[in-house]
Amino acid sequence: MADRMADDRLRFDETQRRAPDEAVIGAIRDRFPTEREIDVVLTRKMQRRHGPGYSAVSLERLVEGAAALILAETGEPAEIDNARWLSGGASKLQMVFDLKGNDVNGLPPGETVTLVLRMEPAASVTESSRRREFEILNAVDGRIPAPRPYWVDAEARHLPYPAMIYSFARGSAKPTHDAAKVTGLGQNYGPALRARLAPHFVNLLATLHAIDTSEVASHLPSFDGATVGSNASVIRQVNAMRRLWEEDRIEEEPVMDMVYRWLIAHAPVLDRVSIVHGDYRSGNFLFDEDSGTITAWLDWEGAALGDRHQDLTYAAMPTFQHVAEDGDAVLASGMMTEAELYAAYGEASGMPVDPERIRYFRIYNRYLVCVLTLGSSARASLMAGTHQDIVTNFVAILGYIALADLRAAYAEVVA
Amino acid sequence: MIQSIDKQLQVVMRALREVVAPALAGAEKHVAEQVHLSIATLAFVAERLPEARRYYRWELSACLDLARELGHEGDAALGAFVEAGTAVLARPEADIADYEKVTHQGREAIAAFAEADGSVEVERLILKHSAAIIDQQRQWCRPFGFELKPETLPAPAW
Repeated sequence: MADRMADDRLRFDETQRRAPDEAVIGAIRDRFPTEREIDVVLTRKMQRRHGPGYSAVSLERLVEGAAALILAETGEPAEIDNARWLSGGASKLQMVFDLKGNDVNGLPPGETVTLVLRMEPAASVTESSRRREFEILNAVDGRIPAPRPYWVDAEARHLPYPAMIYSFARGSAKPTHDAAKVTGLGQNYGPALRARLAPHFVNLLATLHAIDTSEVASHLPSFDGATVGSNASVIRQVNAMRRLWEEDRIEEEPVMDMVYRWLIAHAPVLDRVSIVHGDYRSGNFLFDEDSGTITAWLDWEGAALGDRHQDLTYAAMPTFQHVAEDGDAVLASGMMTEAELYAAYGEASGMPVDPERIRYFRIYNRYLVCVLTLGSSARASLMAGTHQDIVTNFVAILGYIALADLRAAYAEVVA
Repeated sequence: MIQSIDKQLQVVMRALREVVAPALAGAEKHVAEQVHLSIATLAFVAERLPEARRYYRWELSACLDLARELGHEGDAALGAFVEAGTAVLARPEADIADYEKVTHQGREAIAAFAEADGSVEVERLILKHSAAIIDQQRQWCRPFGFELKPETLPAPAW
């Protein structure tokens, strides 16, 4: 057994990661099989490393590409106005613009609507599929408040990189009193706003997970199926993370290897198939500060068909916690304690919160954060792959805190 | 030489902090954010640069300690790492890049050894040594200000 595992181990150096040939890419694909569309996206990422790094894209170029995409999709020329940049966090490049509606583009004829062009740069903290993001937004349209998707340029035929256009969602990402916080991590909404947001935060998660995936399956052709009684979908997701680690890491971390093997060996079978948001946390939704309601959930790029416990434990990750005003309680996603979150979710959803699955996905999400920070973020900034290299570098620095947390959580489960 | 590295960093930081950043009051948010992150990154460099050689020597030493405890004699890659790491630490003219290169080699060898071995004992050793190494990595990154309770981290070991 030990010999077989040793023979399976891939050994690539920095030169191969910077400019992987087809043999390297193929070996990684074979070793860590995952969903078809994820495979396409990650393979394209590796092939792109032979091209130039990220160079600044002008607003004019994005307007031109957006117009070409709309023309191709609707057959009508687009009247685009008032284009400006929109902060896209650490991973995406976004432009907001006004478009005059007509009869064929699905917009109110004659009215001007505000839309967002969302495009990934040459490299990203989270390499993801615009096609999947587009599909999942269609699937949750009318069920969960989220931007309405209009058109997608999944193969970058009209724009420099894959992109999509969706409606501009109104609301605040950060409360007025704490607007200066970078990237929204550890967001503190304050007691009054928190009291109103928290029930909405929990109820929307319960609503998302309760969606009958067979009803929306036709919207999700780029998602490989997940099956009750099987852990194949979980293993595919773990492999996707491990593949990212193989492709992106700057240096090896023995703890990461150990955790990967544990995640494969202990992957739980699904007791229900849910749409998993994948990044359900404070900072990833917009809200109305006056009414205390969530107006839109953002960043659906990590969505998958899988286990609801993945989202539940993600929302409670230390990175998104802060200490309450009493100096004692630790608030998951700035909402409530982890135990309160699980209890409120169980009540809202009517679905069980299984301690064993919680234990598994606590490790799973910690592993994911380490891959994205110490692997993908560090790689993106090292290779000058984004418009925000200094931001991705900052995200990478969080990786050592995440790694300490992963090591401690893993030591606990194997003790 | 009067143009010390620290002086160069300090003048750039002052220029960014006192001249450039205030002039960006009306700029797009991500522009202002990148200037502030640039200042923070330069401040990190200014604080850690004088200690960098000592830090990388410490990190290599910690990986060597782990490799020796794993029983490097029976493993070619671990043995090669221990030999190379010991040699580079003993070489006075070695610089940071040399330490980094050998440490990378050691990390790969340790991970491969653990995967091939697969025993609980090896996992426990790695977890034990990793705790100290990761704490020092967090201590190294402390100037960025992400630690909620930096005072709880062990003191620098380098």
